[in-house]
Amino acid sequence: MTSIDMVQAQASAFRATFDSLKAEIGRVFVGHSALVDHLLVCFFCQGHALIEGPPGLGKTLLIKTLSDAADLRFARVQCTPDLMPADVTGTNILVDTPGGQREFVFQRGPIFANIVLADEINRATPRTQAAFLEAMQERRVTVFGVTHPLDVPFSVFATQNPIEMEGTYPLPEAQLDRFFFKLNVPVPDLADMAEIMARTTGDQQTRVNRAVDLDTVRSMLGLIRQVRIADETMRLVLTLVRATHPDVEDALPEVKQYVRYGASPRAAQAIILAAKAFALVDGRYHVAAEDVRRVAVPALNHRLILNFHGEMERITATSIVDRVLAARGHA
Amino acid sequence: MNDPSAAILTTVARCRMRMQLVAVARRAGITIPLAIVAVELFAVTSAAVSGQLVAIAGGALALAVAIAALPSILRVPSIRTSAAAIDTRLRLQDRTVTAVQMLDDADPMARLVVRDAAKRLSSVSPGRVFPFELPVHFSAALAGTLGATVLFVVMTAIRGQAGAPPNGSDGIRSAGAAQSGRIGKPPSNAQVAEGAAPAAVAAQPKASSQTPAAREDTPIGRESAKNEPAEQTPGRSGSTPRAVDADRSAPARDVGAAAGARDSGRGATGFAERTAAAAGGVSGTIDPNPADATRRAARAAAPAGAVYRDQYRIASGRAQSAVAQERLPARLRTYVKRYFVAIHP
Repeated sequence: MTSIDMVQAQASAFRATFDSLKAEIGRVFVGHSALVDHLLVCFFCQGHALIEGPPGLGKTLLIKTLSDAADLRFARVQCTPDLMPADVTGTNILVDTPGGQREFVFQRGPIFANIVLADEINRATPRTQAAFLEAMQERRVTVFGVTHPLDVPFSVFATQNPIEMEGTYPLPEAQLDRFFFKLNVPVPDLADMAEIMARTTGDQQTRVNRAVDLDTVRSMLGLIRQVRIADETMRLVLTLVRATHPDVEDALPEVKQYVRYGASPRAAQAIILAAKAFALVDGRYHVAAEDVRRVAVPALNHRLILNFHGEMERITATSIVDRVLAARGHA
Repeated sequence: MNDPSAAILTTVARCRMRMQLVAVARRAGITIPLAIVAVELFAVTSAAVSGQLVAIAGGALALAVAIAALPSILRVPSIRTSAAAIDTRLRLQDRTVTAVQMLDDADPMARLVVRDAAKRLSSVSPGRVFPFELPVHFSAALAGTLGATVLFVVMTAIRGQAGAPPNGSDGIRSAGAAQSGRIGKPPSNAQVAEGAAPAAVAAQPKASSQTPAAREDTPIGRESAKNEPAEQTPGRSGSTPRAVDADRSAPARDVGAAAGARDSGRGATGFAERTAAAAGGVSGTIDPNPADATRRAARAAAPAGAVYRDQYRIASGRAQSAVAQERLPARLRTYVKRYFVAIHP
């Protein structure tokens, strides 16, 4: 088998894995196909996602189902104001050795899982939130001067409730930027709601089957980065990200009026990686402008910081991104 | 084709050529109507004859095509641009443009990109991808051209009906002058041609007593002098129209004026003056050999086109019937005859 045939086979396997994972998740989590797509892409790109939605929409269930279907180690951290960084990262504890002596042994925290669900992350204090920073960005944890690498794959899926703002600590911009995607979970429509009721109030429990093993997942992670992107498409991504900055000359009037800070280069990285993953899912070996359009909103909407005027006008970052896309003919 | 890279390059190059051709055709859809309008304007406002007009029209069309082709010649789209256009047209999701960038890349993923694009482009026909399209403002250009052409045809028809030479505004002005001729004055050459002479001649006091043969053969100067006593009586009675007085006082000059002096005053140029000279001369002097003068004028001025011949035939027929039905003074009858001799094609 030539290298070309091998890559082709890997791409086909990726597509099959993606579809089987999506199907397994769909057995438990009803509706929101685009949300599931974005979550899977984020996972395969080894990104972290901030999932926002009102309570009771299945955010936690979605993440748990993903870890079950992919045979991943799952950890859940329920964030509260008294949650300490050591509760996340782990700490050294004094243990008795068989030789009758005592020594400090590092006790791993929940961050050492493949998928970490940080539930209601905006309820944790900034200090605890910062504990996630190194793990999310560097994929390692340093405790008492000792660095501990995290497993591969590793993704943090944090949820936050947009309704209850009292007693919360909104995530700082630097931490928001570390999230690959911000995904909004909308209220399901009537048909989806009826299906949820049928599944959850009956006497039969739906069990999630393992769709893929950990090694297969690991082998696929590198494939996404091999997907090619043309200069024209790359330029589209870069101009799109630059257009979110109000101090750029050709910025839209809406951007100049309502945006305080635009998206960082990390946003462009997220867009390109996610677009590559979607290209593979669609059976292509290169990124198309459609892929960019598909991932632009979840990659950009949490990276745009609106100014006071924008917040007063109830302008959303999503609407700004939509206008920027429309201005470039990609609405 | 075995080599996917070569297949892609070939297809893109063919599509690029087709794109240029389509662009030229689209631009020509605007420039050619403009050229047609320009030629028509030129034909209306200038004194060019049909042969010259054909040459000018050919040149204008060639220039229009050259102008349409010039941008495509000067700005040849790059292979990448052409590939992007193909992707847009065929909705290939940037396959071609990505493959063109990776033609020389040995990476397995790049080879897959090229292979995938070559497969998609294998059945592409440039003619189907880039069909000929109408330019954006083609309907406006077409409507304008049609309007201008209709106007041109109408103006040409009016000019032809006036019997004037096809040298543009002169003939048209002559026709206008003929139609606005006042009753009581001798009819102008155009009036005679249009059959308007009876109206003007109706104001003449009485017919000559000469026989038709004598009237037609008598030269103008002598005829006027001979008829003068007979025609003076009604004029002295005070009821004679002004034209009759004018005829009595300077017949040759008036004949000349009728033939061309009035036209000259309204902007008419050489043709009317030459015709007037053939008929008697604007200076009032009598040509010693009117037949020679007529021939000279005919040679100098009368066009020889087929349209003109047809118009001449119609107008001369009308004039002859008018002369046969109306009782005209011999002088005017001769004048009509000489006029048609003068403008004979």
